[in-house]
Amino acid sequence: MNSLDLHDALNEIDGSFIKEADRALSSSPDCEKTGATQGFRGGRTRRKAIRIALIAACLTALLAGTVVAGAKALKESRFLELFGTKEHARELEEAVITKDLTAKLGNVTIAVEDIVVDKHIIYAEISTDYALDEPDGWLQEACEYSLEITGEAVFAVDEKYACFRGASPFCRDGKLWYLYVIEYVDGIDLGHEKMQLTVEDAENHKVKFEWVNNYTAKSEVITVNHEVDGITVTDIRFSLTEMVIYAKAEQEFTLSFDYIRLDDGTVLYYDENNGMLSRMGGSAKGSGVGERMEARKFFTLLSGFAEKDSKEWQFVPYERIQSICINGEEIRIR
Amino acid sequence: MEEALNDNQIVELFRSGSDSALSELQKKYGAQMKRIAESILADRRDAEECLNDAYMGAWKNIPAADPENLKAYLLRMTRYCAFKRLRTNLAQKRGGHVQTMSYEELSECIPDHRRAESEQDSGLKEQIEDFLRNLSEEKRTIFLGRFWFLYSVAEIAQRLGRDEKYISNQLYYLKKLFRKHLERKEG
Repeated sequence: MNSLDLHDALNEIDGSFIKEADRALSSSPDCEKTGATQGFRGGRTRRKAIRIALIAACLTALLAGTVVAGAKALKESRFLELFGTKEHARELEEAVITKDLTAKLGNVTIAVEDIVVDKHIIYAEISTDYALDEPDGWLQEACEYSLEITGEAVFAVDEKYACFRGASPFCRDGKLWYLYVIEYVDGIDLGHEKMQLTVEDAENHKVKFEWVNNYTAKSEVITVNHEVDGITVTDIRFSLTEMVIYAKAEQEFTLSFDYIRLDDGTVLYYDENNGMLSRMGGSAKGSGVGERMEARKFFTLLSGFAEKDSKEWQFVPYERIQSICINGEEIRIR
Repeated sequence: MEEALNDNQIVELFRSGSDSALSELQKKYGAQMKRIAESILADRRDAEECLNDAYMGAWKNIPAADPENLKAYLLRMTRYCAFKRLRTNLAQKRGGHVQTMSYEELSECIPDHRRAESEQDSGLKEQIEDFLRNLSEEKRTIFLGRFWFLYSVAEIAQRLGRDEKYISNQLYYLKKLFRKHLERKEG
């Protein structure tokens, strides 16, 4: 027997394994290359795929952003602090829902302390009483004690929505915590969905937390249809923690974001030096075939926006955004 | 704006023998099939020929097979064609065309005493399924991401929102576990 035999046998395994793994691994690169929309819900999948990859990249980069996030002192909002944002945000505070779901996993107490809810994104803060000798902030190195967390919405209709899920460990008050993000496509509203979150340790102790959401999340879609240098900015979609700019063109293009202007005239730039942010909102390239050139550019509103040459990142309530500047042209949206 | 067809529509095109069946399939899944082929066959021409074989296989077999999961069916066919070609290349000692990648990694999992076994090792598929069944979903995904979908460690990390070190550690652990599983089954 050699590795090719193993691969031959692997090729024959039950399709359910492949389906499950493919679902978990669903992401953008291949879809990007085909330029095709794909999958379950008409033309949305490509957008979903792009989103998932970007958010996944965001979380990966969050780990790299430890230096910045970890150096922040304790602020009013510990959630925002994780993202390196020091300002307290009332809008966000309203989105924090205390859960206090506690269970014992071996000798360690695990709790879903609270969730921060957005329309199609949920950020769960999971605490443990496992002690760490680390400063507050994202953990750079793998922890000796680690948990495997899997969470999802349990939809009443058995639809297969693409879902990004990822856990990032961090230290808070000398204890191991996880930020677990569950994100679905932007057509999904998690406001009243049943959620489940399974936590497992290396010794296969496992616990499942369940709850039913009961919140109404705000969101807004602004149709723009403004042409800049042959690129049509079609619309902008906002939810509590995210802004997505959609654009299309007849040929390959790069969407360059310059700044946003708030209702009080403040101009905020997106900090491209922050790993998380540059990956998340980095240059969006239109790709596709023929007339399919489309691009979406994602921005987290949790952090990254700051005044020129400042590292004082702000949480931006989207209602305050009056205009955006794309490829050098300021477009008024309100 | 024209959108890609859904899987049922593509399968229907194959059933009706439509000329556009292959182009629609290529449009939707071509890049993923190509990536798999190129992950196994370093030589671009080999990969292209493998893709042609896979498209031909799709043309011939999809109408009768009526695959439940078109994507998995196509990637499976691409893997089959690519490994078949790789076997031929190896038999012809075209070793220079063999890429050092994840398919070779699996050889680390073969217990020494099983290396001399016949290629027709019956029950291997069942052993693999048994191994996968006993893993958590994430570990299964990482294992299959690397050895079935042939993604790089970095790609798996990005897709799962994990850091590369974590995925590398998991793969190291999974390979050891898989080897033990194969040893145990033999014993």
